[in-house]
Amino acid sequence: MMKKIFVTLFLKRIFKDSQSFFILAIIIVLLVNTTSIRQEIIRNQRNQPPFEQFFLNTDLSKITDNLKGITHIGYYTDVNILEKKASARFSQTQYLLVPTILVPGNYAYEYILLDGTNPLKTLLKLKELKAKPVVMSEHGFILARKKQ
Amino acid sequence: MNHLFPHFTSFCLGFLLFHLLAGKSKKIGFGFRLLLSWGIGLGLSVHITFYSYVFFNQLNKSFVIGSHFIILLLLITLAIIFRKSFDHPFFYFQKEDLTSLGGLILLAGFSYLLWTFAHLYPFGGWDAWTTWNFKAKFLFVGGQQWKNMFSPLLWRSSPHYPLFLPLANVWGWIVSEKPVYYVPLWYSIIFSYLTLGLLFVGLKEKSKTLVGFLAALLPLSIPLFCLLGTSQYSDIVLSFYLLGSFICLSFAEEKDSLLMALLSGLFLGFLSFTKSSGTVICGIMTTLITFYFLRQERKGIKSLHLLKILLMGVVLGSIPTVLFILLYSPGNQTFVNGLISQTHPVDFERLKIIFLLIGKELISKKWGFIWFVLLAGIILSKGRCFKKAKGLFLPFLLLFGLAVGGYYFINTWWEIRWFFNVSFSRVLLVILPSAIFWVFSSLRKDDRKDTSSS
Repeated sequence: MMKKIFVTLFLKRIFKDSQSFFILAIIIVLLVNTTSIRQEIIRNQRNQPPFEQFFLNTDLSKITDNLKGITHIGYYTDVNILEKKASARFSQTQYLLVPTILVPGNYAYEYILLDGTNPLKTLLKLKELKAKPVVMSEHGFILARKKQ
Repeated sequence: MNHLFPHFTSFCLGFLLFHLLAGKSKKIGFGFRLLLSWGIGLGLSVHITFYSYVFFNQLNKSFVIGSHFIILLLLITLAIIFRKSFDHPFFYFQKEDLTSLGGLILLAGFSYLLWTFAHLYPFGGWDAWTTWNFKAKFLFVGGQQWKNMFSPLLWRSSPHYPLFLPLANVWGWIVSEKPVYYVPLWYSIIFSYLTLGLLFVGLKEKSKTLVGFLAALLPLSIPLFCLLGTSQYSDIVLSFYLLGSFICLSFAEEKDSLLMALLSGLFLGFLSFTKSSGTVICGIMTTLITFYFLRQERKGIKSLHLLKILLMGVVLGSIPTVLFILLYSPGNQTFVNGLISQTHPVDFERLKIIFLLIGKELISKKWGFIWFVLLAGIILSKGRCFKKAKGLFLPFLLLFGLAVGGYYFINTWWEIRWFFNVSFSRVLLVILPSAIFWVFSSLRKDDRKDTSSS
């Protein structure tokens, strides 16, 4: 009975002075969240972010210098491009080479960008495509031009 | 700091235009004027930059800078010519504006959090370099080949997405002359701050209390809000303009203000150019507002003049969206209609997962209990949330939820879990500030006042 009276009175009080209770609730939530935001920052600063979230800030200017006026080039990789890490690397490379469009798996274009993880496989691909390296860049990118 | 010069120019443009449009309307709080002007100015700059591509088929820096300069001169001249016919001077500052200015400065101090989060990933999140910054760079360095970015080969970059944020970045890069990474980074911080600031001054203007400051701190205390806000995606831009439009709509009705009606419509137009979901939001909100004002008119409450001006704002603000859809958009390249597809058909399991994951997301700890707080606020508002133009927010939520849920259900190109891992939290980010305004502005009045007014 007492419990019922208490609950009724308490609820009545909340509804009567709704704004004060609401503000109190917000202050509590703010205090709780402040702890979690601090932890989140510390966690992010301590841990190296996963590769796919980290931008490949490499200098591809040697490659872009050779692609002036070229709208499309082929893109070769020896890993599955649908896989998250390979997809991130492809997208970041595409961003760096704008406005040239990379076409993965299509080697009909005059220029091919080879982005292999295995140097031997990449060399074999060059041979297969009958292409000559034009320029090599850091992180293992090779821009090759097919013999006409 | 050179890169902030375009931003400052946009602000001046917005401030002058706001002053001229305000004309004889009642004095508006300084903080509120400041943030609305900022929004108008940025929207105008994006429009001007877009027309460079429409008229010259490339970025014509002289046109963009020249247009800004000419419009600035024109607005200054008009402000001087009409100075005597205005009820208030160009730069007025009232005593009560000190609190909102102080609050904004304090909020800028707290926004150090945004700065910290922005610098965790200075090049932005995944969609920054696959979509938004990618498009911006294409627009900036692409010359006459800029339209190649709509190639279906670039399906990863969602070529059908409108260009508000990329064009804002292009405008920011004009001075630096290079697509430097810190311009999109700054924009993400500024738009996040503008959203929180507008929430604060909007509530301050409405309730004349400082409760709005707590409201602005709420999203800032959520790590996910800070992370998504500063990830250099377009969602925070959409969030800002939706909030702006909603606040202005509320004032348009309350104060019978044509200026606020115009701004509400203009912001709806601007947000339609931010994302495809923005275009949908613009459609839903415009329809709801039209029906609402027509119903008010039928009840004998004069509203048609507000509706006309608001619709004019929508039309003016969404010209780039219409041009983009008609002239450039290649259509959604990542869409499979599961209702008719033989290979990727929809099933009941997908529907079940959608409901399950929506619930899971809303109660997730990552949102810092904010949805519970808002639910409590709705209950404590004793129905005030559903009164007047504010009440439109609930049907908006339902219709927008239906549109998002329907899209997730029908588009079987993507795995349903992918939608929820990647996209749904951004949808919530878009509606969060407006939802906070909706609830907080309904709690402000004391019961006595409310009874007398009703």
